[in-house]
Amino acid sequence: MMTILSLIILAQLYSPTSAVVKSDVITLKVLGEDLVMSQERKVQVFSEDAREDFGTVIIPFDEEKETIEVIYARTISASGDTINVTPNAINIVTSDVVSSFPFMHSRKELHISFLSITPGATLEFAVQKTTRNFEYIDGIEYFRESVPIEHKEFVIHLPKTSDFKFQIDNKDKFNIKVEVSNSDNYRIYRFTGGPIPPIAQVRRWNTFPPFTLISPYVIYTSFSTWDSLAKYLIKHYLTTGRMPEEKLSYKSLKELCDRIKSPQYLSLSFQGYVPIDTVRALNEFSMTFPEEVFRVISTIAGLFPAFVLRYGFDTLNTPPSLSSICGVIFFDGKEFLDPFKSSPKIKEIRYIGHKVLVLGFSEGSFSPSSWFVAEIPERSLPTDSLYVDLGKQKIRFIRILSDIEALTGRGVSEDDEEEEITRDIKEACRKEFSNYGVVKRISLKIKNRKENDKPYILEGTVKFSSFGWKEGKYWIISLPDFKNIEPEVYPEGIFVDPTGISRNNLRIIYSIPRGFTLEYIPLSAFAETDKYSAGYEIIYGGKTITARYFERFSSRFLSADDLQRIRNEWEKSGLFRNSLTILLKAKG
Amino acid sequence: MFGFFITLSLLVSSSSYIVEVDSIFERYYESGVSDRIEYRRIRVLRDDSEDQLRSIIASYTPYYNEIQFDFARIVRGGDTIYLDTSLVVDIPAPPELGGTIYWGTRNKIMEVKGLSNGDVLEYRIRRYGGNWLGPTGSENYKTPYPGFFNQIELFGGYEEIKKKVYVLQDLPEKPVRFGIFNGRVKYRKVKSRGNVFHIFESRDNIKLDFEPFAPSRYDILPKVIVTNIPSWRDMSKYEYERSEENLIPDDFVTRTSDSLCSGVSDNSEKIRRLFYFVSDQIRYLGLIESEMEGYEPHKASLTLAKKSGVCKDKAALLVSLLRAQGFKAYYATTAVGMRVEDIPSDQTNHAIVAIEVGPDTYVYLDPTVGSGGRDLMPASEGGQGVLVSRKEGDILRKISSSVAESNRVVVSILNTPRAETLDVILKIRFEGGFDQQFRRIARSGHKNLERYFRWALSEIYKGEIILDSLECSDSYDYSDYFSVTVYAKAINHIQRIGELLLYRPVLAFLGDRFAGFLDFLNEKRKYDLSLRYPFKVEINEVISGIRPNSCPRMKVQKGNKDLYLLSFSAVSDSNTIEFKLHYSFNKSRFSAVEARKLYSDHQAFSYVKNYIAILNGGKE
Repeated sequence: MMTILSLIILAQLYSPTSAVVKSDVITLKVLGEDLVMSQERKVQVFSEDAREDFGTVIIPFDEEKETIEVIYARTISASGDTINVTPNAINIVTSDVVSSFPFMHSRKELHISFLSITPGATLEFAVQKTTRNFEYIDGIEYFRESVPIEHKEFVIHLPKTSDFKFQIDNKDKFNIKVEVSNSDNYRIYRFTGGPIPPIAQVRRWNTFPPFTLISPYVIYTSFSTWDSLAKYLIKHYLTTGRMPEEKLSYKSLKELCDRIKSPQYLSLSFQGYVPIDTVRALNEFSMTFPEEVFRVISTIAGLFPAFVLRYGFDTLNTPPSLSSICGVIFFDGKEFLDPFKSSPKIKEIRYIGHKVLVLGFSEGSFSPSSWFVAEIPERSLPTDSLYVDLGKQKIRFIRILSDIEALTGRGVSEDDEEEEITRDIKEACRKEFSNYGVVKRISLKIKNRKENDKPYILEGTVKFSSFGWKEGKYWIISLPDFKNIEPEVYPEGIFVDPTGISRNNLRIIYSIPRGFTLEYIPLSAFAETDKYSAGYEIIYGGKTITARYFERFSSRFLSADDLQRIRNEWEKSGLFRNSLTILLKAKG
Repeated sequence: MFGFFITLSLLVSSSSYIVEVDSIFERYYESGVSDRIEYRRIRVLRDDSEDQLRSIIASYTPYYNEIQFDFARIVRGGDTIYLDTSLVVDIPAPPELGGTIYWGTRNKIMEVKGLSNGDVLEYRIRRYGGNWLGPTGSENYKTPYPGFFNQIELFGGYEEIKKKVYVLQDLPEKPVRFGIFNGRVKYRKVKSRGNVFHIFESRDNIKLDFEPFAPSRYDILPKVIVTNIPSWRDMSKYEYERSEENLIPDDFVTRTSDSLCSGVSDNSEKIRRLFYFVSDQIRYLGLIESEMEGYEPHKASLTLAKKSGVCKDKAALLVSLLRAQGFKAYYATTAVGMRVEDIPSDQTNHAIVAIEVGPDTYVYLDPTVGSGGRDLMPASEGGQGVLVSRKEGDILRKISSSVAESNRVVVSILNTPRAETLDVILKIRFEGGFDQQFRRIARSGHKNLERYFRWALSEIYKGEIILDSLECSDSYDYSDYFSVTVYAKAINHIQRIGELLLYRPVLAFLGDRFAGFLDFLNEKRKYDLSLRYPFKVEINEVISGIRPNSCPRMKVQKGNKDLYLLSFSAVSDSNTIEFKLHYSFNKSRFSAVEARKLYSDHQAFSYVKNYIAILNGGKE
């Protein structure tokens, strides 16, 4: 069955909208060698459920280079009483990540648990975090949350001599303003917003759009140019002091990357929380993810680091910020490679449609001025094919997958047992094929399991104990249909899963058994908008019916308006129609 | 309580090492405190073992116990490389139970670096004090059951353990008893130099794989429980002594209780009011308030003032509020997530409330797990052992098992076609365990509930869904179970083919949504299937105002009434077709064999999803 949008809905993941941020003021100030962040925030809770979600404030910090202090924390009850948070309700704990990555043991979290919360109470706190000997200022501040914000301020005090660039995006819809003023030796940037509506889409799944697409935000940096940012990245690469040794082979690259210890999702946030550290990077066991990436590059020749910018970001329209980078992959001169995931498949699919900043190589070393920008292209795969022998109630299928995860929802590594993978795939196939009838047996072969650069090919047969619905002279067969997109369910839009982009063609050939004639086939239907097109064509050829399906997304982000347009097109085109086909038993 | 937490950080299931020996020696003292030495020998099977074998982590809680790494070494060929134990980091652990408990637990972590295939990693850890949050007895520590020793040892786990040995040195003045559960563990008693040693040993232990809806590992793996607590009665007495002082209603508690019950004369209504107050208004949060967190409930008035506490505090507050109204309410201990075995020992991890309603008869209330639901005792705890804390002591009792009949979701779907559009009225009543689940969604806002049902309808109907309106009961009104009525239109679900209309009933698709666990079964099911509670799904779907052409009467039934029943029926008359789907899962735990049978029955039963009613539609 063609799955148009593989939406994994987690029905239990709701966050309440029954609280409001009355005010949130965050200030960054440079004081000599220190960067001081202070935050004052007031949240009013309206219901019991909001209390569970907002009753504990968590602020991460790095004990090695940061100190944190609670200025005050209190609950103001609905009747106006003040209940201060007691010392036992302010705890410093270690981040969960440390259990797996003990060298990150300086990562801590300050937890403030508010007391005596009743509906109508306001939770107030002020904290101050000081970063010693900071290297740069760089970050993103979002102005939207899962609850409404009445007033938010983000203020930066910088020495007048400092380099500073910023940009505000999505500001018009949400009325975000900026004021720049001077005071003593400082230049003060004040970003204000409010009231700001909550993020309407409260259920989160793997197609939830990135925050940069749905929230107003300020991105800011003390890097003056992309050259200087590239220089910063390259400086750390160069200080590892190793030259590429091995010739590029996908297998050795994969092996090297499988040895990477630190968590990509954490350390790759370059926003200054764990800056690349030249001393740490000399010790294999204490490297952060970016440092390990540099180690790989310095071991294998012909590989360029490619820093993936957030979706929609470009060097032309974004300040040169470390915070604009959301991942790192490799470029081998021809293709983008992503050997960090658990799958043996090395070709990049995660970041389709993102721009990447590739650090260039000239005159024997990576050069700060030879970086370039490229876009990660869509990978088109051959069409999946199903051959349906109605007489034998059997389907033979050939499917091509960039990754097994697209089918089973679970990553597969080279070390996994063949039997276990086959079982998972069979189960996923069984679920899909049960739309045709009652599955009796599935046999399956997986090709290219350990080939790093080729997609998986699944070949198999499905035997049914009953196929479609037989009633009297009729045999009714369900053709695959497009999964319904309900714009009202996704008011913030969707971010299309890359596997949804890569897997978009299907051909089915039905052979009509002897003794039956075709009574009815659905009409072909096509729908198209500026960001999306889909359709099916059904052709009757005497003894066969051929159905071809396709679907294309020209953008990974579809806003609620885009979804509504798609839905309108579906309605007009007939894609919404049920696609049943009827065979008729011949008389006599 | 649970055993020590020692973990090797595990990231993926496929193993790159094997534990050749897991050996524990433990000696306990008069006070209940124990000395415990844990030795492990691990053989590395792959060069890239780092993903799974990065560190040795040992947890401790300073006011209960202490730990020390004796040594850690790598044997590589003929060489032995000692790891520097001074590099062990000692850091606060992340808060427990999803970030809600802050009782000061700490982790000592030794990083293990550069292991390669064929290496042998050996380490030894020494502990002094108690297990999880107890028992200890020295002047440095508090103890949950002073003077008594308890331990639970599992033989197997998520790692492959070739040989596990647990040796316990007996204290003649306070000898232990033990029980072996969930399988076989070899036992022998050895006397040497005047000492008695209990030796439990098992080879080729079970390596658990992850399987959805499997029971707790404590209910699957062979388990040894050792204890010298004489009886449940003694435990009950001790729990009474520990908790009683904090349960006595003071002025603050009494005033609150009076105010909550103001104007109410009916006893059951008083109980409900007090229960919902504690379950809804007291936030689940565990802070250090006393010298011994984990066992002793805080003073009821403290929990009331701070509006927060964990299960023990919520239970104690409810007991106190109930007593203020004259009820014979008691503090009681039980376990969630694992079975309480019938050997008097510290196996509990949860506290609830017992009200004595007659001689030797109690009703139980759980304001923690039951929070947000109408039922005072959640169905998920049915059949569990419970110990009521009484001055004179008590026996281990059982919470009544929940039956499928009390956890129903009852659905009625009325479809009325207007050309190719269906007017849909969907009424759902959520009973028992379902009530709590759907109230939670409702409390996130009416809009979210609408989105949920719009999504659910779009999953079961073809074509386009227009949700006209949604009515639901007040999610804070506990006078009846939660219910929802949805008025919607399904456009193009009915397909016109010439003069015929084809209609596919939706009830089997909806039924599978409520029995979502069916999606996770397969023909190779390895472990028992554990549901939160037995339950029923009853769906009645009617399409009316139509002229059937070919709508065969049909009745399909799979299973049997002792285990599960899946049934579907279709009947029609001159202008109506009525479909019925009943799922009944009559117990909460099914053996793996039963689960496999359920899987194959459900696969065959899914034939009903292909049912297509052929209707006369007149000319287009």
